Amino acid sequence: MSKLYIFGIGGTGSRVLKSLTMLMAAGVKVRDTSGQCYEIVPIVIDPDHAAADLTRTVKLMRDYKKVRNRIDFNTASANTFFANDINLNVFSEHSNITMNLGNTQDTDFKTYIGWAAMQEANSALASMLFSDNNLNSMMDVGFKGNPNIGSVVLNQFAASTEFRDFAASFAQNDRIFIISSIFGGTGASGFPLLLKNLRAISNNINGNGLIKKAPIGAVSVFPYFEVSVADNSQINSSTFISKTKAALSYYDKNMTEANILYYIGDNVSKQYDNSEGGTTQQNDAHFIELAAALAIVDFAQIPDDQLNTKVDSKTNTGVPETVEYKEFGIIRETSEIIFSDMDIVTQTLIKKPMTQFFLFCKYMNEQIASSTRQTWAISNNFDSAFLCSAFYQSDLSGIKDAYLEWLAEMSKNHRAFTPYELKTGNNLFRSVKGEKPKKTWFKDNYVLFDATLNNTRTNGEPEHRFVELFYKATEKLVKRKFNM
Amino acid sequence: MNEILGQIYCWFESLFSQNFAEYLWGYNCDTQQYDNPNMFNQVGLLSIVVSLICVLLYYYAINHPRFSRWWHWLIVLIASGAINLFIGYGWTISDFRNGVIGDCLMYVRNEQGDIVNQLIYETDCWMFGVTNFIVSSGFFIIFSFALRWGSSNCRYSPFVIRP
Amino acid sequence: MKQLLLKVLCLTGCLTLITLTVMCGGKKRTAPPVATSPSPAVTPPPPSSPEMVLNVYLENSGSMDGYVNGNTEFKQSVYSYLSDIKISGITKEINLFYINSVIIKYGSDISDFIEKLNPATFKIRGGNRSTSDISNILETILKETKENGISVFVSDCVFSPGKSKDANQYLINQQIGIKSNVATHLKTNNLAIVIYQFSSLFDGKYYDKNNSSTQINEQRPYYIWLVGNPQYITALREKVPDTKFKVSDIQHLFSIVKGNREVGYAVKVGSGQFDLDKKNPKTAILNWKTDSKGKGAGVARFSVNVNLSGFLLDDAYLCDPSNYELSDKDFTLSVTKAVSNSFGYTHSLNITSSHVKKTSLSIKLLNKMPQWVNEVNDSIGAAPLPGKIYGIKYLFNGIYDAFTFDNNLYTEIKIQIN
Repeated sequence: MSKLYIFGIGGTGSRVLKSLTMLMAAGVKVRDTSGQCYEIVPIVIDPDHAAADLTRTVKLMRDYKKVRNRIDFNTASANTFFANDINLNVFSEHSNITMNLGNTQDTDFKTYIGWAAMQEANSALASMLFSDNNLNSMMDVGFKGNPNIGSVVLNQFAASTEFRDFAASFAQNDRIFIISSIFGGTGASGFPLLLKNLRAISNNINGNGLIKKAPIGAVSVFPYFEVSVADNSQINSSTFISKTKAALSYYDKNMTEANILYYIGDNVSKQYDNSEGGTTQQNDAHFIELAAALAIVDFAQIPDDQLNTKVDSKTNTGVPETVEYKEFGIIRETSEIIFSDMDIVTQTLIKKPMTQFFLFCKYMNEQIASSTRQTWAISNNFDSAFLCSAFYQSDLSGIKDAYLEWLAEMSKNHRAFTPYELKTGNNLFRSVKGEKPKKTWFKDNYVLFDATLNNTRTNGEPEHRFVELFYKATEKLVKRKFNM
Repeated sequence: MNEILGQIYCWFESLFSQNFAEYLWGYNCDTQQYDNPNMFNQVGLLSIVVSLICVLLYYYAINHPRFSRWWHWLIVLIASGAINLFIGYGWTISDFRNGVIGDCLMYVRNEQGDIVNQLIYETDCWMFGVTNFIVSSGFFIIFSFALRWGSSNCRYSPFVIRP
Repeated sequence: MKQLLLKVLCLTGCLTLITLTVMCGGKKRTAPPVATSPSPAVTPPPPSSPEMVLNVYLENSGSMDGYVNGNTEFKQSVYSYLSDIKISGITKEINLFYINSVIIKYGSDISDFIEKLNPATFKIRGGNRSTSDISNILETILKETKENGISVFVSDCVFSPGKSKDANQYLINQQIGIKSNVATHLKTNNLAIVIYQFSSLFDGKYYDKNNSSTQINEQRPYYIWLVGNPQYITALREKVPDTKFKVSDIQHLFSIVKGNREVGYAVKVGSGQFDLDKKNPKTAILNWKTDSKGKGAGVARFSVNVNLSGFLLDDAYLCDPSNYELSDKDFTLSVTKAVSNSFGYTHSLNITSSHVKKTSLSIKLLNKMPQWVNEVNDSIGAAPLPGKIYGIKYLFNGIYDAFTFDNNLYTEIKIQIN
């Protein structure tokens, strides 16, 4: 199985990775041209270790992995929930997926660059390039929207063990994708640096040959939210646009190392609480992140011959033969997006899987406790012991809660993505907005769900059976009710 | 073989009178033989059919996920039994009222021919109905466990049998 | 949920509708028609046949003179009986005869016949009046009795061995003779003999066994016999029942037919705790149990209805359990008259037992000589004993022996208890 290494830089990187995980849980496959699923290897670059978004993403991925381990994809199984595998163990020295950016804990920038030991000429230059605020800011929460700091600090990762681990594990046919925001602190600076370090990878590092020529895609997320004004914060969303312009002009001249660049942004903004970082930097999920994750799906499908990269003999760096640029759009301008507002290609990609998984999660949330005496539950021994097992109670329920929370956050955001009616107590099949359900006689709502479950056969281990059962049942339901 | 249904009904003979049982067996007072149709077979066959239909209705026609607990099954059993109770009663009450039941079974007469004792009453018809309720419920139970395996929603109704 | 309820209701309603239709429109047995005549084993008496011929034989030997001397009960009784027969219309042909050693025809006029009943005309009638050879008389009568005829024989039935004859030997010979004649006749004919004993004033000479006479004027017994086909005799006794004998009451009745005949019988439904064998509901029962409640608790019982009309026996005989023999000592029998039924059953044999056993039970109706025969027998033969006849038992025994030559049972009822 080929691997797809995804570098998520900063808060945006974490959130897009989360959206991608959600899509993969729902069964959106990240696969190559032959239909084979990629093994996703997420790597997060974020000095703000405590960032709540990052924490959420990591927990989600761990639960995903735990669930996927119990599912059998070897035999002819119809199930596509959790189709992609995730590899969370690429680093040898620790079991996190974040790259260690040493020396940023409890340090301010001044100390980091060794200001105290600088010669006067250097320190004078430094004070021109960096404001006093910059020099005095603590770095353990990222670069607070200052790419100038970030670019200095992030350069170090090329020397890290994690980078070596990554390079050593990179194999033929593997690909790389980078997620970053163009207006933030960590992302804006990290992305170009990472790209440079990949194409100009040192010959001392194992695997450098493959990485130089590897197909690399990247998505840059443009401003899509604001922060409220706070006096004691260094982050000011009025500067987002100007920073974007500055970054873009840099990319224009210097970014020829990626094979494909995806851009995505929006002019509608939601205002978040002004948090500089840490556990309080928790943004609600946004549709933009979902769309950004779709860029990864798109990238995976591009044939190899469109992503050729040569090694320039003079500079010994990888140079893509062509650089392509892609953007994302929906067909209808609306502040509350539902599936029918999206292009048919997007709908084909996500509508059915998301709806199936949505039904699955709703069932687990609202109905499963009352259905323990149904035929499907008895035949498969899904008794209270099963429902109290770690697999269900902790792993799968973790995914379920995250998915529903993810949908809820997106629906409350601006621009909202609200394809489902999320209130409990609704008729299940009227919950898909814009999709009129077909009438079924005598059985509807959860009764139809139970009847469909009762009519579905699976085999294998209990956990596998459980997921496959619901996959098959929800597939039948969306076909019958919505003709998806 | 012809008598098996009658024998099953006659396990409950104490509910209705012995002479009523003879009438149902088809005893003909005129020929002193069992010439008349064996009503146990007639009513029994109908009970089997009705129970079978009710079982098939419950497990395959209705076949509803919310109508699959043991008390739902019991409701259908009682309904089937009730229908059969009225079949049993109705089948015999018309004969009783029209005097079709032979005189030698109905009454004890003295030498002059006067009635000394009546042996068959309307309650016997009701009790035969009750017997039919019991017997048909027995068939209902047998059919339930024999035929429920193909039912998608009610396969484990009324309860699961684990080996 | 509402849709589900609707569906359930609909289907239940359909089912009920179907059921009601079946119940009301389905099988229908009509009330049974008026009972047709069943077929018991014994053939029923034929309808009054004008073809029946009645021959009346009055013995006019010397010993009979005392009965016809004056207006005796004998005369009245005979006149009354013959008139009743004529009035009943059962026969168009009544032939009157005197009989001793020969038959003397006397036409059909009954009243004239009776008027002329006196010692004088007896003498005129002729024949050998000195002795009564009853065996010969009987032989003659039997010869004259055809298939469609009944012979009415009126006599005192007194044996007269004669002087210096061995009386005992004579009586024995008579018995043998009677037996032989009757048996011979029985080979080719279906015969019944009914003998009524009456009493009348006898004013005349009484002859003892030695043929010496004494003048007496006292009540003496005499007999009226009916000889012929049992069905005709039954028909006659139906038309002219025994109750018609008002002038003098019947003192004793002797009646005999050929036995070992099949009769109609059937186990009575509901007469006990048992099931009838479906294949043989008349003659076999299953699952016999003792009664669990009621006054008969602890006793197992059943009853068999039986048609005993063909034996010309009266209820006194038929209802006496000692006239029956059961094959198994554990069973007890009592006999009652049957309730009215359309099958011709006359009596019910009620069997009881304190415990149940499986067996083939056989109930035989025995042909027993009535006890009174010994009581009316005069074994001395000298002076007339009131109510007794000399040697009469030899007469009855002769007849009895002839009829019971092969067996002494009238009929056998077999019930299989499983």
